[in-house]
Amino acid sequence: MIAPFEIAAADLQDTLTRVADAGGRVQIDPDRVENDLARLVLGLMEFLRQLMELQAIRQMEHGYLTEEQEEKLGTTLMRAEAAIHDLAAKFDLTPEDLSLDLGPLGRTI
Amino acid sequence: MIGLGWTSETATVPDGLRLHGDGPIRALCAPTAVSKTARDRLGMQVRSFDAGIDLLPIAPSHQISSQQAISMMRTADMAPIITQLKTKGQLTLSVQQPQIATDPISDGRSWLAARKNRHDVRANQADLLHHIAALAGRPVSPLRRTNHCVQCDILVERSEADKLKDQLAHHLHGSSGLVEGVISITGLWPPFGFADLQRLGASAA
Amino acid sequence: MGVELHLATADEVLCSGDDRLVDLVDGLLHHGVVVRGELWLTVADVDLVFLGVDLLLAAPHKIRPADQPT
Repeated sequence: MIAPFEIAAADLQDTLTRVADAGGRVQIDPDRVENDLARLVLGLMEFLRQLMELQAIRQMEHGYLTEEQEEKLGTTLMRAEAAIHDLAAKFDLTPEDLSLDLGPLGRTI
Repeated sequence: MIGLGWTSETATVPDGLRLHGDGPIRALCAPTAVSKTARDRLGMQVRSFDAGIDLLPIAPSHQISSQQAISMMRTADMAPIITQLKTKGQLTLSVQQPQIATDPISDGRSWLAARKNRHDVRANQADLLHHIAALAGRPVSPLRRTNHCVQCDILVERSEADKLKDQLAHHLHGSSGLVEGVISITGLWPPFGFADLQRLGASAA
Repeated sequence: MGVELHLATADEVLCSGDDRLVDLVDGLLHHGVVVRGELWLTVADVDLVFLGVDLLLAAPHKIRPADQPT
């Protein structure tokens, strides 16, 4: 049985706060609509991808995954990360602009 | 003007800064020109704090106008946390992340295994910080990660900060072999890690 | 390898250009009072949409019975 693993609303809130500017606002500028929307959407995508990665690692640690499942999960998450970074780069966004690392820290333990 | 935080002080503030409001709690504000960046705001906060002003600090990355700061002060009950943080600051503990060599990876299993290693390394750093923080026997903030390190804050009375710093340093030097890593102890800072408005149960819309 | 310990005051950290200390400061910038989870979509300084977040994400085993771990 995997230890309880919850992501509190606060973690998602932190991500949203990161995506927004200093005043808690996502300013959508007519001249850069694509970039501003991309920042919001890609930030959320990366947040969800990191959650999946954490959970995959936990399942692997507990021996719940077959080799085949590990391979598939690893490949998918790896490609998902690359895809999100590629998309971000197209909108002049760095991975740091998007991501809140959910390492084994704070509430996410 | 830009809000730096709130205080129950009525003492004179450093040059250029102003206290807004007339109640027991006031908003400490700085001219926009000198508080444009997050680092500027942090600098002003440290300056005020060093001048003896106890501060419930706004996160430096957040640019909050003085009007917003005043309205937050009116909608949120800040008195309990301001009382709690009065005469206190924080020491920030920081453990540098070891460089993890990464080979180019193409298959999914190795990628997942590499990520697991990364998580394990971070878990070890977290353990090390918890170990040091436990030595202090004081309130500790949740851990956070930057690009190169893991950090946490220890809440301490201003008057005890130097003593605690020495104690931790002494203990760490004495326990080499048991712990290892590149560790920084910095401060005293305003109590950023303990200024959580959510703990007040109040939203500042 | 043992402990390599660095001590610095807030002022020393702020005045330093040392990468390690710059990184340390970055860690502080997002802490303090924040208006958490309050996110406005804003166009031309007009706040149009407010996203308040109040949801919980749980791992699958929390939702499924314990005897079906995957």
